[in-house]
This record gives sequence, C-alpha cells and structure tokens, in this order.
Amino acid sequence: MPIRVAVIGGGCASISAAFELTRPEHKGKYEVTIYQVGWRLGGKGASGRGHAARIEEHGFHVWMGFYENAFRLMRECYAELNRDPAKCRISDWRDAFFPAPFIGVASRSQAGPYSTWLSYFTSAEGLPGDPLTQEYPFSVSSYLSHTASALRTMLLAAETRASRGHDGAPRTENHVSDESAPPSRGGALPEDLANRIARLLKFGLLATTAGIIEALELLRAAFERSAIYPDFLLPLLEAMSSTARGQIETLLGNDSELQFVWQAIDMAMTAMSGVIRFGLFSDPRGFDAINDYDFREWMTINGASESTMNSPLVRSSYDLAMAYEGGDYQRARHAAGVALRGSLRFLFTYRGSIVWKMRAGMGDVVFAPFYEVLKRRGVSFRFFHRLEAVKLSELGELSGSERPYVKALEFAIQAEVRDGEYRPLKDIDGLPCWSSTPDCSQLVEGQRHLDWKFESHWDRRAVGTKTLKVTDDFDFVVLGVGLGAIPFVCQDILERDQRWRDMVTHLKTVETQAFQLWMSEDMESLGWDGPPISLCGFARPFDTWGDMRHLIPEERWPSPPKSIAYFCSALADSGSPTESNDVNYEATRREQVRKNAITFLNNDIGQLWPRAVRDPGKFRWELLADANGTVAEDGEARFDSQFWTANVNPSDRYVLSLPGTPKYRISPLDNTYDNMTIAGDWTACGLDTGCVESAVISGRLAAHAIAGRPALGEIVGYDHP
Amino acid sequence: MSYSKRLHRDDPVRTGPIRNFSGLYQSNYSDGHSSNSSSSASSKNGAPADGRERSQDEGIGLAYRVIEKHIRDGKKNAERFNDQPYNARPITDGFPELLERTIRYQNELLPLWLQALGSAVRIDSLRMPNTPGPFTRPESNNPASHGSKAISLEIASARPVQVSLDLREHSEALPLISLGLRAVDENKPPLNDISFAPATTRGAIRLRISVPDSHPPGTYSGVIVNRDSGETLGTLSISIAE
Amino acid sequence: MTAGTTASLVSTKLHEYGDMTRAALRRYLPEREPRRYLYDLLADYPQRGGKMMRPSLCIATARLFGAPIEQALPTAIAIELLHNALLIHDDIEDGSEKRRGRPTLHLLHGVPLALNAGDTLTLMALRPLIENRTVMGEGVALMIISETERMARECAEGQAMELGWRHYNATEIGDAEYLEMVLKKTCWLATIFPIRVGALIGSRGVADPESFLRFGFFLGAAFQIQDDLLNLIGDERYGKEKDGDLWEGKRTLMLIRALRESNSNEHERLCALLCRSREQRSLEDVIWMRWLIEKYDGATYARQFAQELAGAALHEFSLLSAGLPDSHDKLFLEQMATWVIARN
Repeated sequence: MPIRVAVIGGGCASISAAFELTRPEHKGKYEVTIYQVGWRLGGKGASGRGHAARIEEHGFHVWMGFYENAFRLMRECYAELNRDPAKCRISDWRDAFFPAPFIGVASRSQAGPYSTWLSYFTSAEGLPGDPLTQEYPFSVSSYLSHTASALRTMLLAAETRASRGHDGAPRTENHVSDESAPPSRGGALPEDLANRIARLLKFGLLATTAGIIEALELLRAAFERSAIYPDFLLPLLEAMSSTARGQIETLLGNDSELQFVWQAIDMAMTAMSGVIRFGLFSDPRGFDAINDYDFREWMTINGASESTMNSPLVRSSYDLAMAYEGGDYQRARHAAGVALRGSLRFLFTYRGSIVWKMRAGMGDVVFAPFYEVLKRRGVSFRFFHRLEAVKLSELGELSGSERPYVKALEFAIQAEVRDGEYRPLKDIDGLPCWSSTPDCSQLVEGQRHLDWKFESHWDRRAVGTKTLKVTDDFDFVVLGVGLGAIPFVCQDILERDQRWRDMVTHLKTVETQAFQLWMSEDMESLGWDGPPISLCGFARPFDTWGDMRHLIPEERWPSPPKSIAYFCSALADSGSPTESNDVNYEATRREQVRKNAITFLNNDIGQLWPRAVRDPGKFRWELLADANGTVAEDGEARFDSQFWTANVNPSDRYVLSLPGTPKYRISPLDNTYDNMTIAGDWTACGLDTGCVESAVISGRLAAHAIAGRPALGEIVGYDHP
Repeated sequence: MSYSKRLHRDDPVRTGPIRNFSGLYQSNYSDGHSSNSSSSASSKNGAPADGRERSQDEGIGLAYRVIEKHIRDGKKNAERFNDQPYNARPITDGFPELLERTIRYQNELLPLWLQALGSAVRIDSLRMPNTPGPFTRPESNNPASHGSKAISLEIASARPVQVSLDLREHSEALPLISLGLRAVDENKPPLNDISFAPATTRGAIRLRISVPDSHPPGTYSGVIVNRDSGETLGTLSISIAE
Repeated sequence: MTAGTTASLVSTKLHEYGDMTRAALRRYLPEREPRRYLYDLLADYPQRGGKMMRPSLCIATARLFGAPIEQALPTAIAIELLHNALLIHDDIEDGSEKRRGRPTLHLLHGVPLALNAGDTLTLMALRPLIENRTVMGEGVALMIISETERMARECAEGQAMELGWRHYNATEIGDAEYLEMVLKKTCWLATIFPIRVGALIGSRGVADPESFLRFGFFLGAAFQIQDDLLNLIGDERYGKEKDGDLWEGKRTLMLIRALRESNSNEHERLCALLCRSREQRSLEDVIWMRWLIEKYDGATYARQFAQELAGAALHEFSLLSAGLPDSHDKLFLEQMATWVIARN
C-alpha cells in the first residue's frame, strides 16, 4: 500500500519535495498528488508564453552558482528526462542554463550622474550540482581565508590602476577572482606565522600597500589554520584599516573606481574583524548569532565608515534581497547573519559561473521538465485546486501522547477538467512551455472561465469544493504554499499554536513589481556597449536590470526585437491594508506599476541607455516592439504593449529576512503536526533567505521529514555556520 | 481516526542545521572552571553523601584534577614531539605590548601609506609578489645568526647602533634597495644613506649603513624592496643610541 | 515513534549500531587457511557478542556531527577489533577462565596461539583505518590513525600500570593513581578514542579532539567502576567469573579503599595476600577480602563515586553539545552517562 502524500503548491519547494519522494530508490512507496491553483506550476517562479511566444515572468530570475541543491536536482531531472536533442532545443541542462558572469553595480555621487562598475567574475572550478570534493568548504575559517585572498587581489588591482592613472574611459573591467587556495593542514608551527605577522607590525609595514598585501597573505594562511589567534588577529585588522580610513577616502577623491574598490576592501576587512570580535568562530549559532542586528548596523559597530555603508555595494546587497520593510526604501533592513552568510556563499562558494541565466522562461526551463519527469514517475496533478483550509484534529480527539495532526484539507475547485488531467504544456517548436493564460478549451464550460483570474487571491469563484480526509484520501501533507497564504489557510493551526502566530507576525513579506521591454534597436544602438549584464543598485524603484537578449531566438516574433530588458524590485506598500474582498486591489496596484515604469523610463533609464531617450524626460516610446501590432500610437500608450506585473497575491509576496526575524522560522523537520510538513523559502532551511536554493533545500528537508531521505548530510550547505 | 490506523511521521534524526563545529574547536573552558563544575556535578546527581564531608581531594574534584593533568601532559608531549599538527595553541606571549607599540607606529607611519597609494607605486606589474608559504622557518632578527645566508654589514657610525635585518630567503641574489628608514617621531629626519652592494667573491651581499653624527637618536625602520619590481623583500631597523 | 525510557533508547541504539558493526566486521576477517590455528580464533571473541558500546559511541558521535553511518563504520570496526584483541591479551594476563560465558581463548587453544591471535587482531584493525582514506579523504583518515597511535600508547601505559602494581605488589595506591590508570587503560579505548574519532569523522576533521577528553574520561571511569562493582556483587550470568577481580588482586576502587581504611592488622594481612600470586590465594582469602571491603563500605563508596562521575559526564556533555540540534544520537550519548552506572 503506497503512502499517499498530498503536496500543496507547485513552486520550487513543493516540486523538490515531490521529486525526492518519488525517486526510483523509494520504489513507489510514496504516491504523490500535487494540488495547484490555476493552470501552471512555478509559484513565484512561474512563467508563461504570451503572444509571439514572448516570455512573461514574475520578475527577473537568475540562478546563483552556489545553488548546489537546486542545480543538483535540476541536472538529475534533465538526465532522467532524456530529451532527444534532435527534436528539442533544450535537452541538456547546459542548454537550459548558461554562465552570466557579468555583474554590474550602479552608483552615483550625491545627485550626480550614475556610473557603473562592471565586474567579470572568473569562473570557478567545477559546476554547481557536482558532487562536493572532500574538503569541507563551509567553515568560517575557510571564508576568512577566501576574503583575505580576494582582498589581496583587489588591492593589487587597485594599485595597478592607481599607478597607471586614469585614462577617462567610462568603463573598465576590474578582475575580481576568488583564489581558492586549498586549505593546508599540518606542517609549519604556528609560531612562524605569528612571528612574521609580528614583524610586519613591528616595522610599520602596514603603512604600505605592499605591507598590507603581505599581511593579507599571512592572514589567509593564518585563517587556513583556523581560528586560533583571535588575540592578535583583531588588532592586526584594526591596525590595518582604522587609521587609514578617513584619509584614504579623501585621497581617493572622485575616482569612483578606486573608491569602489576601497569600499569593497573596507567591507571585507570590517566583516573579518566582526566575525572575530563577535566570536562567530566558536559560537554554536554560527552567523545566526548576529541576526538581531541589521547588516549595516553591525558593520558600523565593527568600524565600517559611513560612506562604505552608503556605497553601491551595500545598497546592492539590500536590493538583491529586496531588504526593504514594506517595500519602503527608507526602511532598509536585513538580518546581519543572513546577509553575511548569503554574501559569503554568493561570492566564495560558487561553481562554474557566479550567476547563471536561463535560455527560456523559468517555467519552461525548470518547471516543465520537472512536470514531465514527475508525471512519468506517476505523480498526479490537480490543477485549478485552491486550498481553502487546513483542518486540524480536535483537541478532544487525541489519545494519550498522540500529537495533533491534519485531519482534512479543504479545496475550492476552480474549474473542472474535461477528460482526465489538465494538460498544461503547449509545444513551441518542440519545446514544451507553459502558457500565460489557461487553456479553457480543456475545461468544462470553458467559455465561462475565460475571464476568471485563477491565480488571483481576490477572485474566489469556484465550481465546487473538495474535502480530503486523513487516511481516507491522504496520509501526509506537504504544505508548500507561500508564506503570505498561511494566515488565510491555516486558521486552525494559528489559533492553537503560538509558534505559528509568532511566525506570521514577525516574518514579513513584500509585494514586488516587474516589467519587461522588447525593443526594436539593439543595446549598442541604445547607448549601452557593455556586455549582457545583470545590474543592480540603479535608480529606484527599478533598481535591478537584466539584459535578456539571449531570449530573442527563443520567442516567436514575426519580426524579432533587437533587445529585451527585464526590470524588477520591491513594491512599496500602498499604505492601506489588503482587504480580502477588494477585487480592485490588483488592478490598482498594476496601474501603479505601469506609472512607475513610465516615469522610470522617462527619467532614469537614459543614464544607462543614453540613446534611448530623446531628451531627458522623454523616452523614445517608438522603440518598444509590439508583436500584435495593435498599439499603433506613439507616446506612452505604446507601453501598454509591453508586459508588467504587480505581484500582490499573498502567496506571491517575497519573504524578507529582517533583523530579529529569522528565529521565528519553523523547520520542515519540525514534527509538531505529525502528518504534515511545511516547505518553502520562508521556512527554517539553513539559508533562511528568499531564493530558489532555500526553497529547494526546504523541499528536500520536507522529503526527509517524511521519508528519512535524503540524508541531512547530503543536503549541501544545510550544515553551515 | 484512531492513532494506530493513522500514519504519522517519525521524529527526524535532528531538527536543525549544525551551525558551527568550532564550539569544540577550541576548549573554551580553562582549568579554572573545573572547581565550579565539580560542585555542580555532585549537586546534579543528587546522590546522598555518606555523611562525611568530602574534600577537594576526594570524589569528583580528584577526578577533575586527574583529567586536567592528563590534558596538560598531553599538550606538553605533543609539543615535544610535534605530533598534533591539527591542534594548535593560541600565541599570547609578549603580544599585547608589541601590538600597542605597533598601533602607535601606524598612526605615525600613515604618510608612507598615503604615498604608496597616491603616487605611482613602485609595483609596475600585476605579478603576485613571491610570498613564501607558511612553511618557511622564521629568520631570526639577529644578523649574526643568519648562518648560511651571508650578509656582511658595513656600518659607519660614531655612536653605537643596533641593526635588525629581516630578509626573505634567497633574496640576497636580488637587487635590493631600502626605501629609507623613518622614526616614529615625525620631527626626526629619515635615514637614507643605506645601500646594498652586490655580493663579493665570498658570496655575501653587503649592507652599507651610514649614520650621520648629528642624526637624532632613536629607532628608524622601513622596508627593503626589490629595485626592479618594487616587491617587498624584508625590513630593516636601526636604533641609534644616545 | 517517540523515544522510550532511558534504558530502551540506549539498548536500541546499542543493538542497532552493534549489529551493523558486527555484520560489517565479518568482511574484515578472512575465511581462509589457517583456520584452526588462526582465523577461527580471530572470529571467536567478536562472535560471542558483547554490548558493542565502543563502536556505538564512535558511530553516535559521528552522526551527532552530521556524518552518515557508513562513514563511521570502518572506524567502528577497527575499534571493535582492537577491543577484542585487548580482551584476548587481558584474559591471558589475568589468567581468566571465562569470557562471555565460554572458556577464554587461551584456555581453548593455549597461550601461544591465543597470543598470536590477539596480535593479529590488532594488526587487522589497520585495514579499515586505511580504507578510511576513500571514505573521508587522506587528511581525516590520517588524523584517525594518529589518534589510534595515541590511544594505543595510553592503553599500553595504563595496562603497564595495572600489571606493574600487581607484579611489584604495590599497595600504596590511592584514588588518584587508580583514576589515572583507568583513564589510560580503560577510558582511552572504551570511550575517549571512539568519541574523539567520531567527532573527527563527523566534523570532517574540524572538531578539536581535546575537547572530548573530560566527557570521555568521566564516562569511561564510571563505566569501569560499575564493571568492578558488578564483578564484586553481580551474578554469575554477568559473564566473567564472580570475584575474578579479587582472585587477581586487581586494584579496584573498593580494594584501594580497604587498603586505605583498614586497621594495621587488617592492612598487613591484606598486603600479604596481595603479594601472593593467584595460585597461592585460597577461597578463604578471597572471602576475607570480600568481608574487608564490605566492612569499609567499599561498594557504597564506589557506587557514589561512579554516580558523581556520571553526573560530571552529563555536565561535560551538555557543554559539548550546547550548539548541536536535538537528535536521537545526542540523547543516546547523554543517556549513556546514566546507562553506564545503571546497567547490570
């Protein structure tokens, strides 16, 4: 008798859990059914195809090179999928994902013009998802060693630049590579290092760059031998940076490139001092020990200068994590431990490329293959099922030491499917893709549903209900809905469980906004001659820009555009609370995003794409390509042909890691309700940030909670300071 | 639904990540804690005493003394035989004063730092400096004990001077220059009459130091660099007596 | 399933890890000639069962730090092989007649063959330790071998102390000397070493083995004192012969107390008794020694000592495991402190 698992939600976490539970090794022990609202899987990562097969996403999605679990599962999925390369243009995972190592950070001084600092991150050995080597890469000392190494490289690069003088070129590449020297153990006595460091200090060599470079090399070696020297390491670091800070910045003056490098150096050295001063080496909580601090606050405590804290580097780290409470840029807050851990993983543990982009929409590249593999494995999909409530056992029903359990799951059936299961994918020249709209022809009374907004929280229409009962219909539940949905669907639990109440009170989410442009001129003609970039730190509210020109051949325009650009960011709270029955809420917010985009295009984009604006304040609207050819007008109205979205559904809200909040997360391993586990990037999954990797880890943890596999040690990076 | 029919999850092996092994990396508790723990340990188990007062020499106090001695002996043996490469001790001898002095030095030597960054630095290429790994043995400060590294000192000074020289291994063959030695006190002029002369037939390079008679007493220090690449190869310090 | 009482979690785990170790250990014992002279002898003691506490401690500690069982198994096997090798030697040195309910190896096959078998078992422990290289990399594998050398050295020193006391009729031994001997002879192999290498395996060489000395010592010392108590007051079914320690003149905590507390007549008689060899002691002598120990509450004293040690072990463990998440293995190790003194 197989064990029946009801998986609710079709995002990264749920899919990962289902993928793990249906592995061939389990030999069919678990019979999985996935319940999904609307017509497509993906959750916050869902995408669809609109007209001209143009890709329409929730936002700008890239995968980081440190997403070991996500890539591992993805690669296994593609291997099992075994598509015929002759028939399908994305048959191998490397067709789906490609390295995108160009990262940019925009910055401006005061109210001046923006300049961009481009970095090319050299590729690291191996590929994400490869088996880990024997060396354990996630120790605090290893990170410190990397930091010292990277600093040394940066310093050398900065020196070179300073000595060459400024040639005035607007963009110069600085190579920031991470030298991962393999940790070496054994051999020389610690006295060697200590003596050499002492000598450096003694002769005041730290006043010279060369001395600093040597000191960094020694630091790196010292860190490799691991945290035994807190007594003098801290003063060493402080000696290196404290006296020089103020004067250096004045000296660097207006050279923004050197300033940028110095800010990076400052940040890294401050972080190193902080790690030592706060005893994070020996704290059993690891980086979690500083989660009550905001990242900037913690860095300031450790001596970082104000200008470094306002530097584009720090701003970008907040932008990427959307770390703005309520989407309000004035309330930038990010838990220091989570931020530090995330940065270290991002910078120092990537394999292959630091960032990977996808060759089609995330739905096509990730969720379609998973859907196909899961179907082959026998997973059932119930689309158009909206979870309404998770019902708990009554208090009186429990016997002896029995724990509370999920007694029933109540669903609203949004639409009935004509015969058998809904077939969600459509073929676009050999590639199975999701659609931006449901295929009503497969639905009973399909015409009726044409205007139904299945994915909207505010469209509660349904054609029926369904109640699943424990033991009759299911044995275990994986609750993989977004955090924002929990208050609506888990009332029983919230009523009785203080921990869950704390979680929904303290863990905050934000709405996000995004828009996509297809343009009839290429980037160079628009005035951007850099490489295809992922840029952050730019003008608000659309501080993140992704150059997506690689998608052009994937879409099916009669006359293809010459460039594609995605923008996204957090969306500031409107100030009024979300009413459950305010059916206009979505439309209002969407209109807000449209206005934001238009203002942005008129006023700000010109700094990156000088030739995309006629005059300051006048975007060249005729650039926007319209596949339908319906919007013939010029001017702002042309924007209506593009794609934009306000992600305001509670389940689509992006989870934040505000200071003091990570401790309220609950782990998928928690066994309070002994037939249910939770999964999602909002759970206590180790990384504790909103990202694909967190979701995948949580899904694997959920599978472990039910099946005992995968072993926790196999979940890469779960055990981590 | 009866408990026996309903499936329920087993408790997992553990419910959280292991954040840090380093709590066990360095014994956080010193020998001094054992006296506290011995009393708490005996109060913990609640075993009735046999009526007599037990002194520190008895029972658990004794056990703690035995194990602490064992740990100390183990460490001593390890040092003697260098047989625990993965287990290092904190170095604390003499550092606090050293550091205070050097931090003071830092403030005084800031101009050097500024000079390095502000002007064209003598490192022309992006070549990584040839840093020796952590496995080289430290070179002693006393030039007389350099042993096989032959460096001959030629000092011209009316007053006694003390010279400390640190050179990386195999640097004797490279073209060395001193960037000038400065004192903590900004008012004291630098010592610049320092030069290296190439090796004689005996194989020793010669370090020539000339200290003007009127030069204020004190300690002057600075770097020795490779004349061609600007790479730092060592340090030099001269103390002029009163 | 929720965890049961103390006894049942510990027994469950001991069985679980013990069975795995025993099954895997068979792979390392060759089944070829010469059987009658060697390989059957090697397999004898391991097959007789036993509590498997030592390998279980290794496995549980390794899992506590996140390693899968398979990574800890080779080392657990090595521990068990070494332990059995030591048992063979112990039995010869003590002149024991029974081991786990059956005759001792040297009684079955003669001392030379048994001695050879004991030596061979020791060397056989090398193989799984060498195989660790493929399981966990050279670095950690080498650390474990280094630990094994240290453990062997400590064991030898402890064994030498105990044998020397008997051979040279030492009677001026106090509790401190006893503890030191137990630390070296028993604790290093029984508890300290398995826990230390378990931590190295689980933490991939990051954890500092020195941190585990206190916990391991207290646990092992409590274990040994309980062993001695059982031999004094336990039943025949315990496996070793009753009063064996008294016959051997083994310096247990109870005996040392008797030496310390007895009046001058008793002290003189006891010393004289201890100077004799085993063959020269009579049943009456042994009965008298028992009486003397009882007179000075040796058993009560030892029991209380063991309880204090168990308490200290619990305390040390709580310090060690403060940052580690709850798990069955954490609970198991914690409850070992109670188990070692509660068992019979």
